This record gives sequence, C-alpha cells and structure tokens, in this order.
Amino acid sequence: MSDGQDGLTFETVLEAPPEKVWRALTIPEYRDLWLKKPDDVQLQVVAANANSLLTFRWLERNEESLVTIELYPAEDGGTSFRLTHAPVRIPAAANSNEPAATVMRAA
Amino acid sequence: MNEAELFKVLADPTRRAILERLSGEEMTATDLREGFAISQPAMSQHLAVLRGAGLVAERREGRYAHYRIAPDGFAPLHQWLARYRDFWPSRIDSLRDVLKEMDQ
Repeated sequence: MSDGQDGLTFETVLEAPPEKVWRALTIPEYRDLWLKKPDDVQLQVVAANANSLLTFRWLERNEESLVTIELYPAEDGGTSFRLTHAPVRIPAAANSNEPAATVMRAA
Repeated sequence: MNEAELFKVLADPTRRAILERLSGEEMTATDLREGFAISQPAMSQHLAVLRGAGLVAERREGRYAHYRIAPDGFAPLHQWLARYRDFWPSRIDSLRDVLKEMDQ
C-alpha cells in the first residue's frame, strides 16, 4: 500500500483468473458480499473495460472520490489486483481561520 | 472561500511547492518567492487560496506578513486517508473469500 496527496493505492495478487475476479467485482450479488458499502455511499460506474479496468465514483455526503481497480493476468492463472482510491473533492474544515482555532484550543 | 476544496487547492504544483517550503519554517512572501519564477501578485494569489483553505496561516509584523503551515487545515485530508487506509484491506480480504466460494 502507498499513499500521498494523490490518494491510496493497494496492490495484491488474487488466486483467481481476471475473468472470475471481474465477475466478483461487477455482479451485484457478489459485489455486495465483499464491498459491504457504507449506507451513505453512492456508487456510479465511470468506466468499465471487461476483465481489466473498473472505475467508479464514490460519493459520500459532500465528499467525492474515485476508485479505480485494475486487473492484470498473473503467473499461475491468478490476477494482479491494483486498487486506487483518489479524492476528488474534500471540503476544507469549517471555520479554519485562526481566531476560532485559538479559541478552541484555549477551551 | 467557504467551501474550499482541499484537493483542488493541493492539485496545483506551485501551491504544493509553497507548502513544502513552509514545512520547516515560517517565511515572508518575499522569502517564499525566491527560486519561484512567479510574480508577486501570483504568489499573493496562491497564498490567499492556501489561507482560504485553512492550510496556511498568516502573521503580520509591521509591514511584513509571515506565513506558516496551519496543521489543523490538513485534518480533513488526514481523516479521509485514515478512514480508507483501514477500509480497503478488509474489503480485499472479503473479496478473496468471495472468490473462494464462487463457482468457477
């Protein structure tokens, strides 16, 4: 895993071929089993390229981010799996001007 | 700027460079401009955006303004990263379980 200002990246190898991983990602009955999406998150598929690339918008209250999953065939019939989660819109903290922050620290 | 959007503010390479230069010390706008090929109004504009997003704080001393990092401003970003840093590994583990149970 790595992270920075561009978001988070997770890489692993799955013991199943890309075609099967693709079904687990895209068939709702399977997807719900592993994704266990929080109730206040809405998903919108942005791009889908069978067995290799899935991108969806992740909308949570006033935040927006983008999840990209890339699949590559790996040795032994497995799949190299790479998930990137990048923020698109994160509101700054409210009232982040200095006097307020000072008051809060003093309190 | 009320609804400052952190990632748009941080997407700009000059603003990222400004934050990097401020990471160790407080600086005046003049100090900050050294080494940057940008005009003073452009630097002021960037500093205004960074202040609006709560990422940089200003301290006035006579005719000089000193700028420094405002750590609290980075909190929403760090909270977001922390939330999903924990979220995805458990989901990927669940995906492995689902793959085991699926038909070929």
